[in-house]
Amino acid sequence: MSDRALARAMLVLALAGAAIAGYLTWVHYAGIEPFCAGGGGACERVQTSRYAELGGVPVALLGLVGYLAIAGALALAPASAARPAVAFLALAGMGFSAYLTYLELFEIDAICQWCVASAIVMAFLAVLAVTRLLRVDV
Amino acid sequence: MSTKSERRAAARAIREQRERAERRSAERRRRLLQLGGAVALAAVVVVAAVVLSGGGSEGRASSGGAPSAAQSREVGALFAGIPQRGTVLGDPRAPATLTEFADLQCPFCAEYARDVLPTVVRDYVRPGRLKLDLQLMSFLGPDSVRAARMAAAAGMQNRMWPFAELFYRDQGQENSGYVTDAFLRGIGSAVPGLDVQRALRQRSSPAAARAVQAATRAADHAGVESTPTFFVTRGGGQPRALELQTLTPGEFTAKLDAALR
Repeated sequence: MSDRALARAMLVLALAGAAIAGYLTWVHYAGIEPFCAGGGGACERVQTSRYAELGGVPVALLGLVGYLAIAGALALAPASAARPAVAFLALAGMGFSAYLTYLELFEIDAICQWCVASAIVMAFLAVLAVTRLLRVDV
Repeated sequence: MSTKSERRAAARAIREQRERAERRSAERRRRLLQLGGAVALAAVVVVAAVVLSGGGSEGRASSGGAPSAAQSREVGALFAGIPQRGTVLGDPRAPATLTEFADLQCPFCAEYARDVLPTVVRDYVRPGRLKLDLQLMSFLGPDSVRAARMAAAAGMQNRMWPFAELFYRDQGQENSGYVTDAFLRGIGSAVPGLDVQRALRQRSSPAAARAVQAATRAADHAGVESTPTFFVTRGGGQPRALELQTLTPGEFTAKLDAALR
């Protein structure tokens, strides 16, 4: 896969992640229940838990900013600057997503499908970002 | 036999190949350094986020305003089928009332709710011998005020008791600012039958403020100095304080029986 193709795949993933985080941000501020396949209120339980905010900022909004930063770096910054920046953002996002998944499993006792989807997207982004950073085409 | 120019060309090719390999090697080292920096920086950011979210704190049993489904069911079962009206739990025609002055942040109130209340509900409230009146004070601090107002709003929907019960199970560190809107929404959404949005709106209403003030006035009037404090009132008689040394079902029911005789 060429460097350009890798960047494009990551851009698609970042936009998908931004869509998920954007939806959860909207749900948070609108104060409505997120759509949850199978019902049961698990998504709402996660979204309304104390962990849904970090320093008063909704975690979903932080995710949205992160995804948009990744997309922005991929689309606008020169490749030499974008590679390490995107790797940092995606690794930080993946680490925090892993922590949030741990909270869902062991603290909140509820799994939000949107959060899991976002965690998977971020994990793929991190793998691709590291792959792209380590590829040397000289 | 190769000519002089061919030998020169071969030497140049070797040199260029070596230079390319050196450039690749230098670039690889640079990228590895960048990756190391990205990993280190990401780790710092993640650890900071975890600490900020309270995940690094120890000794905290609170689930952060997200009671488990099992807790929600347990509390639902505790009060199932018992009439609730405002601050009162139990048959309105019950011959006696046990009034509890409590603060939702108070750990002893949580201890009573966990260890003693189920026995009181089972042996006194369900058989119609007693009704319980929960007067929520807010003397411990701003988190208590926010909690009491939300409880009062839950009381407007006759859901104050399960709300308080679930809150106790999720108590955080006193006055740490943990009683946020998200926390209250989380507790409220675990209360069976509670319209959380309505409760969140109504907690700012004059009626909720009046309810909290009324509890404080009643506590002042009764001379309450600590929580939880209990009074038993039989019929239209005078309230009698329950003098408790420990919060165990055995001692509590013994004192309660004495007051009801």
